[in-house]
Amino acid sequence: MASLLRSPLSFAAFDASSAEASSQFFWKPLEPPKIGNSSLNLVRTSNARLRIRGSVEEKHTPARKASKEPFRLTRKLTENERQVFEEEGQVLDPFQELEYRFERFKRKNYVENMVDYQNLAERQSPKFMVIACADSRVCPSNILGFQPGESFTVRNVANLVPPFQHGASETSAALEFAVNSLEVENILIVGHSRCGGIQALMSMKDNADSRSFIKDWVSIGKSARLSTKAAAGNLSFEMQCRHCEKESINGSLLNLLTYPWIEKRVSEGTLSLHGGYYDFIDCTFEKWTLVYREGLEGGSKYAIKNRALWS
Amino acid sequence: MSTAAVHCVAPLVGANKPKAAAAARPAGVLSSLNNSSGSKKKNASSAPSPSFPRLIRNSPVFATPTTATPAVEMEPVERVKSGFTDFKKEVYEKKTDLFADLKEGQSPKFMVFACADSRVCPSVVLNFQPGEAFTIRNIANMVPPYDQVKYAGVGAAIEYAVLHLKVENIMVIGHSRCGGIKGLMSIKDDGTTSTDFIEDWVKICLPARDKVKANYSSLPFEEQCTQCEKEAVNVSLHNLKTYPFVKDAVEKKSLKLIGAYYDFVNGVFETWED
Repeated sequence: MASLLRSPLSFAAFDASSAEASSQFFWKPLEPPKIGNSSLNLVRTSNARLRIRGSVEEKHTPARKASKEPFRLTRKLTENERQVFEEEGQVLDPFQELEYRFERFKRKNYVENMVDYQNLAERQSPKFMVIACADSRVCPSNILGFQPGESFTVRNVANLVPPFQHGASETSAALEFAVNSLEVENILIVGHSRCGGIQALMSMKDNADSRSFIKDWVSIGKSARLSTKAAAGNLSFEMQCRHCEKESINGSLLNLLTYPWIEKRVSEGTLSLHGGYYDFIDCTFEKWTLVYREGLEGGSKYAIKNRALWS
Repeated sequence: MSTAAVHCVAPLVGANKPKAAAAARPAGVLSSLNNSSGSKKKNASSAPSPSFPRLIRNSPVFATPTTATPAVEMEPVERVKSGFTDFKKEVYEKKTDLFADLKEGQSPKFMVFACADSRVCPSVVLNFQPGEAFTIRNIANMVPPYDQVKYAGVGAAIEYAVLHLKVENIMVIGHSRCGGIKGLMSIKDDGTTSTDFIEDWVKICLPARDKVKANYSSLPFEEQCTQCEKEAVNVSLHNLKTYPFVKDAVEKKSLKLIGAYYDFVNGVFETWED
């Protein structure tokens, strides 16, 4: 039963180029489950404008609302139906799947921890800010088990942090909010193996002809690429990429210190900067902490401490 | 017990823990527990922040009732380490086929824009498994319009997702009590800013603010913010279509744009198609 319920959506493991895979994913929309006496009215607002609660702008059926009470009869129905569909080899349409998952979250997490969610609704006070890659395989909540309220998480291509001088970017705005408003105590940059963004950085040719967003963005990591070529230029391309993945984390950590309000807090000791590298080839996690000695010049200003490898 | 229940997990603190219940501070549960622990003090910054960073997490990481295990205080690094070792043991080593495939590449069907807010991780709320969703998280889950100079970061992500990964759905998820949207709604009408980057960023959704101020001026501020949270999702969906590769894919019907709103105050998740 558990395996039926929790088998990931089957498409995830398929090769993107497989036509069969994509056709397996989309199905005829299912009839919404009929649920007897519940407070639920099922529908999704398709092809419709924004639904403002309480107003009737266009003809629509009410959006599904979950009450605070735990589900009883309804839970059974949904799981049974899902089981039936799984047995018949059917895959749910994306909306149905999302709806099912949200109900499950609500049942198993939200309702169980109502007090905590009520507190969280008032305010968040995470101890961590995490900067991770957008890669679907490396969500920090999955691999590091962060629960709601624990980590303010920014995800971008190749977990890069542009320097302060780079100007406006979504990452800079997030840093400002996390450090100045939320006053997080730790910033953790998490890189990972087989990163497509780093691969693009390492493959970049210097001709200005073919411009792309990806090239423009990953160029932030150019210094990591240079030091990789210098240190590991004789290794295979894959090893160079691996080296660069780690170098770019350090480059981003140093870029963090170009932000005056970050540098100030690190010097005061109220903010710590950490690097992390998740290798999903052998499932290990390497972590280290940046040491910053303000006032010293040259190489001894920065150091690494507390390096550890978890495997 | 299902292993993937890791994601729908044990609470931050036990519901029957007296310290949490007694917390009258405006600060969240975590810092209230930190303060009551009375550990060594740091030099105080202006805010009354807890002395020594600690995180609370129950173990084991299953969706067991909160009464089962007491909360365990942890150092930040210890916290991260235990999260990773649990993931490795309970997820990675139990789904070897999935992870073997994922080593070779990813082929997510979803691209998700979510807020960086610690309360709204889509992997937790929608239980996205590794490999399912290419996820961008930024302040207020905004998608800026196509701009090669200013917004290369978001452009790179969309470009990669649509052209290289060939995702089939892009979902933008807004949420309740969004600090970024509140910031947007609080920007002074004369346009002066007080932050280095935040206000510039949230101004992406000024059209949402304008619409809300025009149509809902009679509502109290908090409710205007709620309307703006939803309207901003629509602005982002509209901005997505200014990227030529997105527009093409939508016209060819190989890409669907989805708006969503997660209300953690009432426990509701709404979706709509663009």
